[in-house]
Amino acid sequence: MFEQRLIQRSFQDNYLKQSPREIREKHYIWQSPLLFPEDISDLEEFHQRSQHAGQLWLQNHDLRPFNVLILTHTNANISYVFQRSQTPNNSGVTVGPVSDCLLEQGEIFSPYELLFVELEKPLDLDIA
Amino acid sequence: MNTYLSLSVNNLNDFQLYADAVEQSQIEQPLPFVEILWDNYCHLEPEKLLEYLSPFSDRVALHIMWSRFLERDQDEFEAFLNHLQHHVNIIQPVYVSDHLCQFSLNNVALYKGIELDYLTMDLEWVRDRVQQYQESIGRQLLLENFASEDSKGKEQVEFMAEIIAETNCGLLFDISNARVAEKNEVLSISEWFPLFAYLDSLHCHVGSYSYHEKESCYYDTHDSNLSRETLDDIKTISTSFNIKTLCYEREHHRTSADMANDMNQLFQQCLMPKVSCLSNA
Repeated sequence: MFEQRLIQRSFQDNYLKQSPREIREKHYIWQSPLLFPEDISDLEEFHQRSQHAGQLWLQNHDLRPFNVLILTHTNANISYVFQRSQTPNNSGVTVGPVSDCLLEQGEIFSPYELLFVELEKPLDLDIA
Repeated sequence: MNTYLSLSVNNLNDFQLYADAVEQSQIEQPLPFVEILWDNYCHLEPEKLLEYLSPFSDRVALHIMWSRFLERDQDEFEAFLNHLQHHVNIIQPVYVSDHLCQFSLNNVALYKGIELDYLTMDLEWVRDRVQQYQESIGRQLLLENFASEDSKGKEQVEFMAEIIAETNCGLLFDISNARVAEKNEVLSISEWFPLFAYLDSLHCHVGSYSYHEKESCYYDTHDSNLSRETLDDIKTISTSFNIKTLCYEREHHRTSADMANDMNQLFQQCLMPKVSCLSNA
């Protein structure tokens, strides 16, 4: 009972999914929202899931040593950039959606047609 | 012996809030050490991290939550350890602490860590992972006690004692977590005392907890002021055992005034020492 409630809540919080699904392979925590889209062609849903993935990436429960994540939906020509906090009293930065394929190469992530890269060096993101 | 009182600067975003809290408290600055939740800083170069933390203290303790060191496959575990080792070599932390916890179930990433099932957990696996952890960082690892919510936690002291005996790792005793376990009628705080007697000194955390009506259970939440019971627990423990460090944690529903008030109460419990030769764990 306890485990069922825990998994249910985890699916709602991390995977943006009301009912739990079987997960055969390990994945990074930040990738959870992108695993089970309702409608893969629904761009509004894609934005919601990408932004949540970005928030999880910024929280860094995966303890990855990277400063920047770039995500590109190669079919829809949409990208997001996330950068972790660099200086005291500043939070992480989200840039996007950007109507462009910022990546031509990267790790492939399905079920969306996604590429991603993580960069160690921060970018100069002057978005003011 | 002195107790070194400090606080956990949980993340980079809210530095000023923590600085204001220290400024408004009675605690002498710089602090004898400052603890960080390494999860929220591990993307930064360690030299940069030391520079940012220097207004608080020139001594840093690294606390880690989501290492998932019992769940990572070997390559992933080694990658994590290499990264941490780089930080440890440069920062030379007062201590490195982590959690005996579980963060996934059947590949499902859980929204929070849950307590191990000590009865079914493979003790040798935990022992080997803790040993590899310590060998990699070149020092003792402290493991934090869990704020037990259900009967699984009844075996926690025994399991922790076995891991400590077999690996020579240490304990980071979270006093308010132990209070939560007692309030949930899982484990009395006094059941930890025989283990304390086995340790030279104690490194402690203290924070707050809340009651969850729907779950009929207390949780470790760090979202309110210290309870009278927790303050009494500190007094009880410090009367009989040597608390070397005591670190205050606050993450939610916080103002600098609330945090300063909590730290002042801890100060009165522990009589803050001067900054002196705080040695590593």
